[in-house]
Amino acid sequence: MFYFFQLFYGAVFHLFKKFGIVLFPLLLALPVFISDFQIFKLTTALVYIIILLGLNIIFGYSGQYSIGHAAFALMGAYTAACLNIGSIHGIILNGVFSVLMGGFASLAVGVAFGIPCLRMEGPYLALATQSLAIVVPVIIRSRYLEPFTKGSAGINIHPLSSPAWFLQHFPHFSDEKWQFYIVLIPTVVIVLILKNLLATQLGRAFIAIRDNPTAAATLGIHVRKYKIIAFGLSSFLAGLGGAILVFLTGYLRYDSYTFIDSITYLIVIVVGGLASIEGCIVGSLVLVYQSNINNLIGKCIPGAQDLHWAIFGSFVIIIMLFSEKLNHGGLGYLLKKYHRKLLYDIQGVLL
Amino acid sequence: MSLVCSELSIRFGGLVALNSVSLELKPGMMTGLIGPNGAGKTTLLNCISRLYAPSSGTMTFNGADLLKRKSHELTQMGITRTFQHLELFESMTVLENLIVGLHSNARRNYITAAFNTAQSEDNEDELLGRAEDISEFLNIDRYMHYPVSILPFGIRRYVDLGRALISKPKLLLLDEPASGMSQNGVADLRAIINKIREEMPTTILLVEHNVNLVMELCEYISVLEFGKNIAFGTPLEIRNDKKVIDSYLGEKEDR
Amino acid sequence: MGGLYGLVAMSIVFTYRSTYVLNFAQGEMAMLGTYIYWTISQFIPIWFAIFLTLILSFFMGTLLERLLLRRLDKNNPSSSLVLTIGLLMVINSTVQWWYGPIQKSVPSPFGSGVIRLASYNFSLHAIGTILMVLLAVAILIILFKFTQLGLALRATAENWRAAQLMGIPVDSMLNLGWAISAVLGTVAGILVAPILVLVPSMMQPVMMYAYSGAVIGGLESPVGALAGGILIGVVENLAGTWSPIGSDLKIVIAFALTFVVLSIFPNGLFAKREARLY
Repeated sequence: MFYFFQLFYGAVFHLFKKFGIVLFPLLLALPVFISDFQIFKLTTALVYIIILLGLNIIFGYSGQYSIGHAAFALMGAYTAACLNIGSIHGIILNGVFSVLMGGFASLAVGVAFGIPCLRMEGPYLALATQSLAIVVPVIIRSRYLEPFTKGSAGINIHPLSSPAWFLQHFPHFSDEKWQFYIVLIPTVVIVLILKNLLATQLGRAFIAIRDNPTAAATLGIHVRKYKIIAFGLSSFLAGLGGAILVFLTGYLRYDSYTFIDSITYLIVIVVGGLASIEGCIVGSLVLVYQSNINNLIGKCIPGAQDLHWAIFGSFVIIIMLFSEKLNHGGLGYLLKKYHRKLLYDIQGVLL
Repeated sequence: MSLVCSELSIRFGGLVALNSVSLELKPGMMTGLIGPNGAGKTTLLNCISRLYAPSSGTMTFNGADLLKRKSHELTQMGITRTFQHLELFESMTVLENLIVGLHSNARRNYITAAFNTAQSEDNEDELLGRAEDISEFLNIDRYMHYPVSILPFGIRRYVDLGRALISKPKLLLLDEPASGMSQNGVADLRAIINKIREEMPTTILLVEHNVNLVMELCEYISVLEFGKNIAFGTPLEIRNDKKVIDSYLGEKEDR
Repeated sequence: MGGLYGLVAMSIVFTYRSTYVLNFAQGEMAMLGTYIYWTISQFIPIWFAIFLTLILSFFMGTLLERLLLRRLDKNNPSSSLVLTIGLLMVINSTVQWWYGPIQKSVPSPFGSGVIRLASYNFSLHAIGTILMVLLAVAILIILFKFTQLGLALRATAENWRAAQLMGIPVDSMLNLGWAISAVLGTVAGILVAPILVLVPSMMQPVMMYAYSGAVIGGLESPVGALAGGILIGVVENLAGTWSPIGSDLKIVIAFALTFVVLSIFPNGLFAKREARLY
């Protein structure tokens, strides 16, 4: 039974890989068939891929504990939002600029925090980043920044919507659909670039630092430099993601990204798979569709409604217990493994 | 090609690990470093690879001041090392471990890597090629795609060695390569070291407990005891040096 | 409050020293213990309930250690940290699911009286808390410094392989370490509950400070943790009264302090210093 399950898993993944070229247009066409709300969820999932990638880089690949990731998303979001208050909606260039500034703002803070963190190890580092995650929302809410951040009330900006000239040709093209396609572009670009970067020298350097910083140093890897790069890259992605999300939802408050969110991100990438891009995708889907998963669980196991986080937590525990066998991956790794198994076995059958 | 350490001292708290130690390696030759446990052999190696900072003394390599350099700059100068406890990258395969050894010496261009251009593919292929060459040289090419965590100790040792060799170093620091090896393992090691000396001539510093091995392979030997130099010379001289016999080797009857 | 942070901080350090795992779920375990106490105390008198709860939490710690920590790779501390995060989620969700999110009030075991001393009101609870903390510290110090068992525990934490070779049953020691810290946590939880209401997220604010305190003091030393916890508590309150900061920013001060301390002393104030060159 389990064997067939594995084969099925592998088959799904195989389809993705081999026929990605074909599936991609399917993805593009998808919004036509599903409701606007579903599209919106999908778009958020895309953005979370970016945010989780950031976390995966610093934690999965480089092995640096970061439980303050949500704070970077928050900072990026606020930067973008502040640059946009009272401006005209839907203008793409203005949006792109704000989003990028959000990313860079987070990058700056990330590096600034990263430098003192360089000497810290393990649990100490975790606590330093935790401090960050807790402090940032409070500062944002404080009365010093209120003129900019509007304190507890939060900021409203006009979300991204289909521009007028577009609507002339396609009058029924909803805002959500427009958002989806716009967001798809940077997501795909970022994923492809990072996939390449992480498969080559940069990724290997990160993993080397995670596994054995002493050996890495003697082999020529400038550990501090790469840690800073990891911090910077990770916070940039988080800020970028946070900024994009503001344009999707149009609303931002100081507690839009809390410390608990940081922890959920961590849990979700562990479940999805550390040090893998597939892991981020799986993790993002889990995060966005958690209530659906919750309902599913509720149907399968009566009375277990609302226990979904406990179940994810258990997944994390189990994954960590078997982390050696899983080679530090999670569900993403299982996908790859079953895919390979499928290939081997099919070869066996065909030959 | 030569490493010159002069009057190196280092202390850890109240313990003086190295006390005014000097060492000069003759270029192209293999020098052994022996001494009882706690003599400071590995400490000296760690100073050279800049994992420790000596409190006094100087260190130069080909005239360049090593004390001004950090660990990761050493490979660019051509200095690499192995570790007594291997220190491999456990989550990677043999191939990946070897490639990391080329990190600073390979062409690195993040822009082309990001976009997976032909040039970056060529870079990767080149790295792959050199890793294959080294693994063939060390007879571990069979294990290339295995994760190192499941491999037996002897093979892992060669992965560590391969990592240090792959960048064609000018100075190779070997930290107790024979430790934990069986008789056969030591014989293999001897053969490999000879092969290295023939095909990739370089200056080697061999820290070892296996005195036979050192006596056979090295042109010069330096002896440390309690953090101090007590002798330096050819194997013949060392074997007959009274101080060395007293402190470390023992009389003929004891062996 | 500082004393409380100190107590929890100590329990964290305890686990860390015993098992080299930073237990992120410490707060949740304490919370669980407190909930159990609440449940039990519905049926039996308070002090008896406390006693029973402590015993139960002892076993809870043992159980957790047996099930989970045993099987971990002792050489890889990072997976254990993430595991405790998972544990945090599990306990939190489960408690929330079982008991519901409605607040429950827990009366203080010391009664709700107040003592007046030189024009300051000290609640009996506060005094009782400080006394409990002192008692706990005293017990721990006695245990660690003056008993065979304490010595064995310390030995295991420092170098479990050597301890094993000396004939110390390492697994039991780790077990005991967790059990004791579970108890410590529960005590803290019971003491905290009358001040803050009993909700599943009760321990979270406390934990933030406790971890900071533990880390400032250095995870190696319980005394440091205690000191750190008290320090944070004091700083926070003082900062609150200093008007430019005010009560909303006092958290920032406490954590900024943590961060600064860590930057300068990457291993905490009381710990051994080891600098790396790379």
